[in-house]
Amino acid sequence: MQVHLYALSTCPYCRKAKQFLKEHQVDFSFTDVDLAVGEERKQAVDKVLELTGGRDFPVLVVDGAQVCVGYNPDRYKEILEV
Amino acid sequence: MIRRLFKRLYRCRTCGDLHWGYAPPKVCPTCKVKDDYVPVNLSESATLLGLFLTPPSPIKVGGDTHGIETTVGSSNTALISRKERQEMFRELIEEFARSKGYHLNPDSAHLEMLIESILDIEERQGVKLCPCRLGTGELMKDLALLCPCHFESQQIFKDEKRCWCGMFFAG
Repeated sequence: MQVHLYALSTCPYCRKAKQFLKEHQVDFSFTDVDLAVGEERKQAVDKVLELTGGRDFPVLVVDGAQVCVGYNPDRYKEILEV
Repeated sequence: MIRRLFKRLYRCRTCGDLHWGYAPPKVCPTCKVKDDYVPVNLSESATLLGLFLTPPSPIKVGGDTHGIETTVGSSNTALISRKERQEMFRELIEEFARSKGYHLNPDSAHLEMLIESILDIEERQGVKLCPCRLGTGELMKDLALLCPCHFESQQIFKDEKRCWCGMFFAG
């Protein structure tokens, strides 16, 4: 299972999402989009827009298909099966 | 409504109209929504006024908000200390919450991070944008992200009775 979190370093719910993933020992990668620069930033913004149609964070992506916008522990448990 | 002894800038949360005066209009002359003006802090006022006084070309920038690439607006925050801006902003959000019957997030760590993040963004952008949503880098397009935003129209408010970043809760 590939788990990636798009986040903003300024966002408390993004911080809580990272904490949730760590507490449930989920192997994940993340991008703090506001801290990214150049091409990495452009790609991250484009990906979030493509997946969600918006610019709201956090965005949890599982296996490139399942997407959860916003911090939602119940939904996280469901799609991560934890 | 508190009538102040000095003029200040007020912003309509619904449509972004600006009003300079002792008190905000009861009804917005543009969108006709009642009681939806919020006061704008001094540090933010110059940026917002500049937005409407300068031609569009100098405002448009390449980067998006939150980022080091962005040069939207001109920050006036250096004129006022961080502590003073923190107090002014806290006063503004408390007054707004009271006036609307909302309350601030009781999780003090969450609230503190929001306030500090918004002040950081203001130092970079000149305006207090939502720390949980990414702007476009064009202030004219990002007016809807100014805090307090018009979160009552968002799905999250309908579902969870809160704004997206979790600063304001209803009930």
